Amino acid sequence: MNNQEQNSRLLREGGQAFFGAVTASLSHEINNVMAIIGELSGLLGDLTAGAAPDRPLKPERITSIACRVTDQVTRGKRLVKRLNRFAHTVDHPVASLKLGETMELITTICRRFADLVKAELQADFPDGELVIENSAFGLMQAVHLCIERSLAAAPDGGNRVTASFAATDDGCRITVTSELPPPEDERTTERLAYLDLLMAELGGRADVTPQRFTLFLPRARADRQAIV
Amino acid sequence: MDGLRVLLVDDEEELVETLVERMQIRGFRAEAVTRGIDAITRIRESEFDVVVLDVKMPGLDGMEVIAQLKNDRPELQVILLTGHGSSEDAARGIKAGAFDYLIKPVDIEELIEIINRAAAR
Repeated sequence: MNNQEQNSRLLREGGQAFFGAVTASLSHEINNVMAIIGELSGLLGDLTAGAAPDRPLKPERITSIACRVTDQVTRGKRLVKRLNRFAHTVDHPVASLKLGETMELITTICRRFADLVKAELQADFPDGELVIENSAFGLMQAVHLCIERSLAAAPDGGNRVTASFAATDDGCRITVTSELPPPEDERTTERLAYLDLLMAELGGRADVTPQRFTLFLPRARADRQAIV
Repeated sequence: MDGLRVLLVDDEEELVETLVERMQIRGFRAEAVTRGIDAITRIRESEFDVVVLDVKMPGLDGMEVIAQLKNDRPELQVILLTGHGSSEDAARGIKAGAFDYLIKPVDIEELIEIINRAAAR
């Protein structure tokens, strides 16, 4: 296997792992929503079964449960929409992207990963629209990698990670900063090597310092035409 | 076996609160907490027969909680709740001393059956 084939394989496997991690996380949340709706429905059944002429069902109790179901349906719809948007990022290898929307999607997805390690994940995005031509999936993968390594800094909590972006003369700059430095371990070394490979594939580059990941991306890919 | 004292631990507050309501209707003395650290505190404060514990939680996760519980109260029976595709977590939990596990969403009658079996051990 030559170097190019090896890199292609690494990118394919890395992309699959990212897709798997995100869909597993979102489907876990959707599963929780379904479980809650199931329990609320079961609770209604329990209350109905226990009702009697001298123990009538209170309308306000039913209304309260109905509201709780509605809240979960709203939450479920939001999660399904997020999953659907994420799934469609693989539709086109290069597309015209609204960076704000893409960054909002990936930081929202990553917020659950942050919650699991009791970290705070902030999005500090500028007003106005910044459009680039690139792979939405690849861009999100790179940002996720930076956030994931930053979250690894404090598995027991207490870290604050901030994602931001800005326009540059020839494209954009995405920054992920961490109050605590990622662990200096084999995993980080391996992930940083992958980040370099991924950024090269996206026509950009990554600058990494202990508490800051900076991703530079061109306004348009020189090698591929965007599908608008 | 009515009146069993059950502590449910899951970061999905709406889920555990609803399960508590349903178990109370069935005669259990059930209560809920949403964080692993709170579970450890409650178990130190009060007597429980069974703990139903979500594996994946922010902060102290189910595996860390079970290790602590088995150290503090080795006789306490623990039932794990896992998501789909988390059979490895379940296997680790059983190895760490959990009585059994259930995959979410749980069927309440199945949960009660396992709680009763765990309490009878």
